[in-house]
Amino acid sequence: MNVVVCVKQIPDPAAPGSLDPSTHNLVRGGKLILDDSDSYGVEMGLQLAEQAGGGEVTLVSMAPAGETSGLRTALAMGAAKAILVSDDTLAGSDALSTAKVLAKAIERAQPDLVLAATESTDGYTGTLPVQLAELLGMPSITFAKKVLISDGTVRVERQTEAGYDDVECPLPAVVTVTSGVVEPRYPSFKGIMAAKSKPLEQLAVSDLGLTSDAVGAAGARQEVTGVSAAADRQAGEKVVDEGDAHEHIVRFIEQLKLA
Amino acid sequence: MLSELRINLEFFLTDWLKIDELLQRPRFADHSWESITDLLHAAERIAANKFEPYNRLIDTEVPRFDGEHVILPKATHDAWDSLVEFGIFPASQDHENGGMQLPQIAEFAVHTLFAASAVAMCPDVLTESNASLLVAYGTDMQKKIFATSEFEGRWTGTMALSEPQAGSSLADITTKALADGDDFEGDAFGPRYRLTGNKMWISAAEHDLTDNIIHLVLAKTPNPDGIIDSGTRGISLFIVPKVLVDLDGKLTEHNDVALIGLNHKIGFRGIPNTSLSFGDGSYQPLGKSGAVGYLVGQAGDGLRQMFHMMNAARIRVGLGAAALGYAGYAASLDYARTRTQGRPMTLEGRDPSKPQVPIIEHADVKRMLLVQKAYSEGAIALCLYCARLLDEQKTGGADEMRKASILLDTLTPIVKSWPSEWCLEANNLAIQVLGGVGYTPDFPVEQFWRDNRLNMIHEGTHGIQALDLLGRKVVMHEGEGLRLLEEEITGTIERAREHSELASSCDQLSVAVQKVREATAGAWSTGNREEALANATPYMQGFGHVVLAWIWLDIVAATTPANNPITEGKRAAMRYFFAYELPKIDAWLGVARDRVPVCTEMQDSWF
Repeated sequence: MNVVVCVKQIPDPAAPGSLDPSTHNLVRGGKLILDDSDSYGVEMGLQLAEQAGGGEVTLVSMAPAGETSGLRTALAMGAAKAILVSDDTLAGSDALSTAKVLAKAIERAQPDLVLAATESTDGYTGTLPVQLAELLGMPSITFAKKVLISDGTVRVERQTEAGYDDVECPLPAVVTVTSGVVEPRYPSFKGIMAAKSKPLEQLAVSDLGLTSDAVGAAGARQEVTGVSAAADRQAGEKVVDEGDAHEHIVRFIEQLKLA
Repeated sequence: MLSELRINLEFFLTDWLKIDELLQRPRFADHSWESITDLLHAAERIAANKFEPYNRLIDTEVPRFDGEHVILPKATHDAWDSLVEFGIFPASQDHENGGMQLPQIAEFAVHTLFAASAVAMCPDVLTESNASLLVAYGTDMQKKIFATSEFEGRWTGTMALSEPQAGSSLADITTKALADGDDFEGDAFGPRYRLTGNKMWISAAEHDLTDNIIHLVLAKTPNPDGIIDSGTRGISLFIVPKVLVDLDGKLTEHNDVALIGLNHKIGFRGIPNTSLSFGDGSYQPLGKSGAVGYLVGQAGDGLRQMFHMMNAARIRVGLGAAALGYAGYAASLDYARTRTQGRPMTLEGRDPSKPQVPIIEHADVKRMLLVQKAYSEGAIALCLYCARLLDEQKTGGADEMRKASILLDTLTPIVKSWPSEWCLEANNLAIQVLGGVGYTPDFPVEQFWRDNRLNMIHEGTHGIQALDLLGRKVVMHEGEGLRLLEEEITGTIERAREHSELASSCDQLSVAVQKVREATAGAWSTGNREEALANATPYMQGFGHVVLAWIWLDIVAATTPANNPITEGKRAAMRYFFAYELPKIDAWLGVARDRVPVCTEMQDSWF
């Protein structure tokens, strides 16, 4: 059971971020970290490989300047190896051009299953995984809260607003995993040290048989036309539980939905 | 809070303490800055998920005794398991002892994150310190069975020194240990004794976290003539397991160690504090009453050995106090940024139709936040500096190792007491920033204060630290510790003079160091111990403030000015410390220098 997990490395949310004023794109200089939403996919992949009694988890990522910090975190969790695509020509990529790059990298790993988060924490387009499935010629299932593998089939409990649907499709397939469905293991100290010696293959665009006009800003079909600052954080509202706290909570969640 | 703290720790390790240079040393060949940042990120995640959310819970769901066991909340078990799986306990130990030779400064940085999240979550500091002592002084068998099990988190450890009648005065302990039979020296775990006596204020001595607890117990042994020394010379150190084990470490039978009761505390409530009875016949190990204990090292050497654990614990007490100071600072900063109240002091502010402003815009709130920043970040920096000395002790050249040992010895009372006193004051101000709600349990700052209040008391009280500093540390080796510290401070001043804007701070610190020297000489000028030590605590307060001024100047001098919030914040904290805090030393050092007798002359009946 060989699982590929798509892993995005993002700027540390704790550090002040910035946008490129000319492109409105996020500046991705300096250290990047593992997108927290991808840690669920990594954990799910590790569990599925363990349950299958064999196989391994391969990470696939695209990041500038050969950045590997986030990959090291996922390797420390237990992934066996990683493929990183890093190339100056990839700057300005949109979701589709990123999917093209990742698809080529994933083909090299010949996985039985591809896992990804439903969306990234810094981009939130949520479109890449299904584009990836199309490019790979695989079926896809989104919003998985539970994943079972048997007899060449993946069975998924797919989260819906009302509950979940049972869906299945043949392997290989692309499945997106929602946050919070498994508890990602923490990298141990030994895992962190072991990650340093795990295979990490770094590729350029040309290694994937792609041309530079198909990727990066040149190949992008999406454009960020404007950005505005988020509203300042307001003081919270304190709810005193006088036996009706549940009603306050329901109202609060309703307001969140409207927002 | 944790992410900001982690970024601060990374700043101290790289920009100030130059960890990249340390990592060039052979002992740390396996490590890189990359792997250390990975470690910090992982620690931050564990702390954020397993510690911080449960800090209030462990304060309210206190350990309870069900007649047989002391039960801890599930959150404590989860946190302990996550620490064990993380594998941090033996991290800085030698490879041959199952460790990974992580630099101490990195390990301290990791622990800062956990302490800031829930300082009283579990007995990690005690267990690690206990095992480290056994690595230093234990036999191979003692290390293999007891220390290894503690490093692996299967068992926890305690330090059992105090007794109901003997806390600070350990010479007065009465717990005694007698050789257990003619073959007592033939036990595989070391010379076997039977202990009897009561111990008090023993943390984590009974709980359901692990199935065994390793007590390190101070007890008096008779000399060859059968006489027990009334001083400290007869004190020996013993391993007393709660449950005895066989040669493979498998549990066999309950030792004669019984819980007398749990002590109820105002803070640090997640970790049970106990009074224990050794050898009262509650159990009959190996067929008779008396707690079985195995001698560590040589008989009569117990206090010296225990101070190995105690000194390590004292630095970690300082670190815990500093982390609590930071936690309160972060909580009150967050509150001050969102709580709106009042208007500016300008003319415009008199218009009530104008919106109220966040309280962080008021000068006095800024002052209270800056005090907390200067105290807590300065205290964390001091602890990391001491951790750097621990690394120097292991990896420096012969001369550097010796200097580091003496400097660390000199600074130990400061690193324990300064954060304990001033980060408690930081927590006091955190409550003040929040005002009325800070005085309620709806916000965490009152708990931080209650938790921090312990630190001036345990592992050697404030007064004991002061006596240690003025009575021993600054005069030992003919004052070499103080001279070495002065050399370090002078080196900082020379480096800082390269920055013209720091010139007046350099002058101020030079004068302050001179005042420490004068106070030390003045206190001891008559050679009368009682006179010299009468004002030991004010002396320590003045000494500590000079050390922190030095730390702040060193941080600023070592880091390139840059227009970013971190370095600007550090410079503001330094400016605050030199303008508001350093001038306070005159009163403290003055009474010590002049041997002011006001307190010693006070008569009981005048109170």
